[in-house]
Amino acid sequence: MIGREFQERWSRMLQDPVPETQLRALTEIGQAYLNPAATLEEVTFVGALKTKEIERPKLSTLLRDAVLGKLKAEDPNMRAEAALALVHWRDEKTIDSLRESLSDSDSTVRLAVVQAFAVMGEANYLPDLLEVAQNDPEELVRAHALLAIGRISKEAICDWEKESPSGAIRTRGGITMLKPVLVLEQIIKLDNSSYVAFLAQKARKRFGD
Amino acid sequence: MRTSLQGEMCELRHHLEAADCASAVCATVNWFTRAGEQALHSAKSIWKANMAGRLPDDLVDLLARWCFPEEFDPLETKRTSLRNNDITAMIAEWHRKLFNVLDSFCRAGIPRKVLCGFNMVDDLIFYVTSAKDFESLWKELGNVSPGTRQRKPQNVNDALACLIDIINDPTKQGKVYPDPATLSQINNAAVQAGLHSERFLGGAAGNMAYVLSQMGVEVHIHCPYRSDRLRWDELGPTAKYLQFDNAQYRLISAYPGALNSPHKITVGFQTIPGWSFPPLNVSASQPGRSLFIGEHPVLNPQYRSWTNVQVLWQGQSYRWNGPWDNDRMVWPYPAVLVYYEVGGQQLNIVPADALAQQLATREKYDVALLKDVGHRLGQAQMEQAIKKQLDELRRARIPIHVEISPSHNLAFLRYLMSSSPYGNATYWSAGLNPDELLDITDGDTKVWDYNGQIKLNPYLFPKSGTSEGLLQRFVRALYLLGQLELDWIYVHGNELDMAIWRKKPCELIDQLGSNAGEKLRDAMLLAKAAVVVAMIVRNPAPQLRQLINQRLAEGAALAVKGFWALLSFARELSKWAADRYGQNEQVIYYDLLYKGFYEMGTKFGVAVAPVFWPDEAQYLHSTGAGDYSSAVVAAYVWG
Repeated sequence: MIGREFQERWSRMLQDPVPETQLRALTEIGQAYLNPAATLEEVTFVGALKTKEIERPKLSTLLRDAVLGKLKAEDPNMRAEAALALVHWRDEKTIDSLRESLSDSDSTVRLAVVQAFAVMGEANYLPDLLEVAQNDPEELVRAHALLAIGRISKEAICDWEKESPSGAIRTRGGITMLKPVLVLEQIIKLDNSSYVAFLAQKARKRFGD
Repeated sequence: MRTSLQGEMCELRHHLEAADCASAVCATVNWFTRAGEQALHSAKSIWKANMAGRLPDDLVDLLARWCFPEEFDPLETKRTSLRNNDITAMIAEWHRKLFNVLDSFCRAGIPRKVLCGFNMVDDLIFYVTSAKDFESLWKELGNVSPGTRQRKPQNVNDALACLIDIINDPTKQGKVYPDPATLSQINNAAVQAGLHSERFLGGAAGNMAYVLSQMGVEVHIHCPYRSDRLRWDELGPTAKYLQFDNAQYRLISAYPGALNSPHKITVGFQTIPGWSFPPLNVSASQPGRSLFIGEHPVLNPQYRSWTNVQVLWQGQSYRWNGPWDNDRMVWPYPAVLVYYEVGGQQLNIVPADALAQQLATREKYDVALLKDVGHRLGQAQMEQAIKKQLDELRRARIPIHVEISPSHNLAFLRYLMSSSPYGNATYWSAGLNPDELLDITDGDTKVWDYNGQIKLNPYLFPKSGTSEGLLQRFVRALYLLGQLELDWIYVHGNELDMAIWRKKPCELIDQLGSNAGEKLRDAMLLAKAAVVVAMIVRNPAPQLRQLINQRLAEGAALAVKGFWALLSFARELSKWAADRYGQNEQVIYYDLLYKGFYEMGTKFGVAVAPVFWPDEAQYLHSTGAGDYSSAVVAAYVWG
């Protein structure tokens, strides 16, 4: 459990009437996932890239609910920052809320959600990322979704592919998608951004035939 | 067909990992703030604990305020916030920019034509991989005892001292300039010791010609002697040698070169770490590189039939005195477009001014890369000749780009740039590295004078006791830009590249116009990619190649320092510009972070590019990293 002092401080900040203070809290919560320390005295630089080796802090559901509330804020910066703060939680309520935010009208928010999924790096989000990679109107968001797929380990992808032997997957909209490989091949062929097409080719290599 | 350098540059697209990089930078920002606050808090506590009881409390507090800042200074400020989503978006945007630059290069290349002169050198690199290698070398040097480290060693004892010093501390990046006899002894000793060696086409012009021709740029090279000892075969297929005689200029194949022709030599020692040699207190714990640079071209005296040198210019002849008067090995090195005649006892050097005019009109180069023009030639008529030739190029709207070094005579450079036919636009640009910029503009520098016609004092403010920040680097570069009246200046760093352009002059120049910021930014992104690839391709030592490939495999981690530098500079510059020029701090900040450039009203603009790649100059054969950067940026921007 991350220090109580931090969590209580963040909870207070999230209730502060000044939006800057709320944003600061969300930023700190998000960064605490990448650079965990139980107390100020334990601050060390562990290197964000070795995410699998670090014991992640466990934050309270009370704090989670406060952050989830910010996912509906009027300010897109607040919504985006909240998305990046939610990386601490993996429960259904959090993931469903993040998935819903993939349809946010603001591309900054959608990019932040994709980055949150990238940080989490789990194969369960593959259908969501593929859908964004194929359909988001913003080139940068589509590209980032493909980079996020690159953060899912090959083993996790293999396990995930075994669990869906038919190859078809259901997305959050209830629509059945093609096999990931076919989705990526469509992106390679049809996306008018050379950056997205390149990243799709790179992502394609992570899957079996 | 692609060259290997082109292929490797296209491969770099695979190393872009925006998602990982964003996480790493967010973590770094967080760590910096928290560790910094904690370190300051701890330091103050230790200070007070040690002082308590020895000094009165109010005095302890006063001394603490003198030693430590009130609060830790984090990267973000009230006006320039730094949220995780800002960092994510910014990094995603820069990765896209870099991809587009590399992808465009891979699809279309950079179709340019450049003139490149004059310094071409036979770089001989010997690899010292073990104590046994070092001992063999020492034995062939006569087991001499090390003398004193000098910039210009005149004997093998002092040369050995230089080598040992640099092996023990590779951060010294040693370049030394021995006399020809000492250089020859070192070379012979390395050969007799049987050290593994490789030869490369070096010198500023050699390095520039290498990287550009390998990138597919058409390069016309002129150097005083097209010696067969130079590695012309390293050049790409688009390189040609520019030869002059009294009637015409010709473009010929650079390779194979003329037999028995003088050439400059550099003897380098590349250290592979992991050994020590106690008898001389040598310990190679890191890769390193020391260079023994021959300042003059040399040739076996049996091939020299002349005794003195004259310059034939505008119908008159003028004696040119130099070290060749006393040393028969040494030849003159005229950094001018020239041809030669040997008449009896005279070597006649003839500046090809009329041909330079034809060249300028017919070839329509995008840029002329002429690093050496900043050196005084020590012969007045040749200095006049180079001025005339450069003015011909400029009249044809061919810009000149020079890589500045502290050994340049800046007043002479300023003289060469003077009298532009295009008003404020000088059609000159320059590149240099931060250390050189510091040397030129700090308190130890001299006032430069060219024949009493031009005086130039580049001093701005003394160097700081701690390492200089990026804002200071920018201020120095801006100052030098103004002093020399360049159109733009480029400072190539290890973490952040920056370029500053003078707005009004650049708007008069077709190639730049209103696009200067974007062009400079993209050029810098391309240049740094070319540098790391050139270092890989030109380095045959398997251990060193493995080291650099391991670093590249780290992917995202490499770019953290570059983005940190960008964030830091954006914050400092936006505050400085807001205070000084009354500009909007937030607009400057976000423009630098997302667009990579900002235009300061009608005065100047600044462009930046974070460095995505490892900086392993100290252990790869990269005598020309600065030359590569400058060449690529100049060719890209001026095209």
